[in-house]
Amino acid sequence: MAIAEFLLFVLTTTLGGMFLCGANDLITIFVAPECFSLCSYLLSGYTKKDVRSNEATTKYLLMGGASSSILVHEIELQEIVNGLINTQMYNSPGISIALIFITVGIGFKLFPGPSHQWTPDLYEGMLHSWFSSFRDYECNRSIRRQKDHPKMIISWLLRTNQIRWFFFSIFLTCSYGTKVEKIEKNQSFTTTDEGFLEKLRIIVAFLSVTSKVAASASATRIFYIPFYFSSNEWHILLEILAILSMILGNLIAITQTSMKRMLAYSSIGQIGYVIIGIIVGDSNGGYASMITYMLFYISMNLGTFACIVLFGGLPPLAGFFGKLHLFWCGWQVGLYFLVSIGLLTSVVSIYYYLKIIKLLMTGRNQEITPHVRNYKRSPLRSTNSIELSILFFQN
Amino acid sequence: MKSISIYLSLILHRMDLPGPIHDFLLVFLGSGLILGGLGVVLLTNPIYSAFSLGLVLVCISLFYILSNSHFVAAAQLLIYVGAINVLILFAVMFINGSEYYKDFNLWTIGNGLTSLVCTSILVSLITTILDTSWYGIIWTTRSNQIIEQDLISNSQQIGIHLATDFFLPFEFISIILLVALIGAIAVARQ
Repeated sequence: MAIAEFLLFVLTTTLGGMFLCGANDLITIFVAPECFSLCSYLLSGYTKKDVRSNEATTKYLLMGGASSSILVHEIELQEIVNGLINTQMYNSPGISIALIFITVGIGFKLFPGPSHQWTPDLYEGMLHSWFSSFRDYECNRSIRRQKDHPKMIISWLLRTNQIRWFFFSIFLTCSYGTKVEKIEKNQSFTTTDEGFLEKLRIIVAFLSVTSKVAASASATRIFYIPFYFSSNEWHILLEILAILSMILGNLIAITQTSMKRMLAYSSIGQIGYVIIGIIVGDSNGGYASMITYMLFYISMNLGTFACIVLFGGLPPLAGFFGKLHLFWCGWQVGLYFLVSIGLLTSVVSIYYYLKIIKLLMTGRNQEITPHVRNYKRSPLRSTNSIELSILFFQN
Repeated sequence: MKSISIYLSLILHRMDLPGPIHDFLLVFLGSGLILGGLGVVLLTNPIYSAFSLGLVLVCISLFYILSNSHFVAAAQLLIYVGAINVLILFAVMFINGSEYYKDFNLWTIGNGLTSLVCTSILVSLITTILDTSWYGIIWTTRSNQIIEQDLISNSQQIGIHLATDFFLPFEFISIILLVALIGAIAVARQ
């Protein structure tokens, strides 16, 4: 459990995500998720002592390997599709096959509807291992002498850079504004989505958020540029995925008793909203709304996994604007069915967010309240700044 | 099948084998492939499965030779058979002999669903391959390539593309290998 490998895996995961966002040819679109996934497996299996984290890692690895193989076949079919597009054959079965394969391959990374089974196990295993190792750190004096315990690393990173992360987050939101302009003018995606570097508190937050960001960025590019002429087909596919993930994610989250699994299922539901943004596309600012929502999702999720207590209070305020913009764009384009399902499921999701608040207010869990006192100020500050700057840039 | 082989020979301007031998080798290797695949899945002893996986990979390599892609055939032999299959055998040999499954359900609902999905993928791939006009694609993409293409062998073309067009993924893969090495050590050490 040394610090050197930890930092190396985190940095290489970041590198893989950045290359995925900035990919310009198909080989990079395959190689970059490989790098990202490999480092994610290594990070998720970092605490070897805990059995549950090992189980989570194994599941993640197997599913990731299977999806990568599907993605490889898709890349190979994509080359055929390029040839087909050159010969102007837009309706051949080859294009549909390539489309299905790539939807499955990318669908795994984003985990919308059908590919979501491994997500809660992964979150539960990893959070359990990380929390138990933190708890051991607090309670066991002999471990505290180890300078390279992950909790030491993370808290050191945050203590020394707190103010800098804050200003960095403001800078990132400004860069998000310029990036949105670039997409709307169909320019190339040369900068990268680095919003996740705001708060590197717990590695599960990092993993969940990074994979979503990178995969949705690549999904927008892949679905929009080569598959432009068969847009009806992938609209239908993505609609099905969005509906499945919204319904499944939010409904199953109601019945969960464990907080970590509930958060995992809620993140599945939120990917459904993001997919609506992808479907809407370039006209009417669909990509802008997707990125806006992604930003809120990042800040919410990082705050959540870090302190588990303030999630309920903020989403109806900050995430509300993101969802509103998404649904507004969707309604304008004409996806009435999708948007109505989205509205229904967000009402459902408010239920389990409020359940978390209720749990907080009744004060059943004594361990969390010191963390509330310590961390209450910073997430509020940063989320408000992000919200203000987004509102500023939306015009 | 014959048309596909004619198209491939049109690309490469070389057809080393006359027609009947070509077809016979195709059928032979194909049946070896299918038998090997069945062996991997259905044999109970995992070491036998690993060896039949080696047979499958060797058959695929011979397919590549039949299609005049010598570089890929050599790479397949070196990497898949020589490294990956050997690694699988190492892992399989750690399994104790007495833990083989003696009584497992031969057919469950999950198996039925999976066979349905796999059969549908197979059928759709076959129809796609037969319905696509490869002739048009090949002749359209040929005009985009470099002029002296017939004078340069396949391996040299791959080298040229790796060093010019795909240089960035090439270097990125080296970083992946480094991280894989470090990760393997970090996971496996005590």
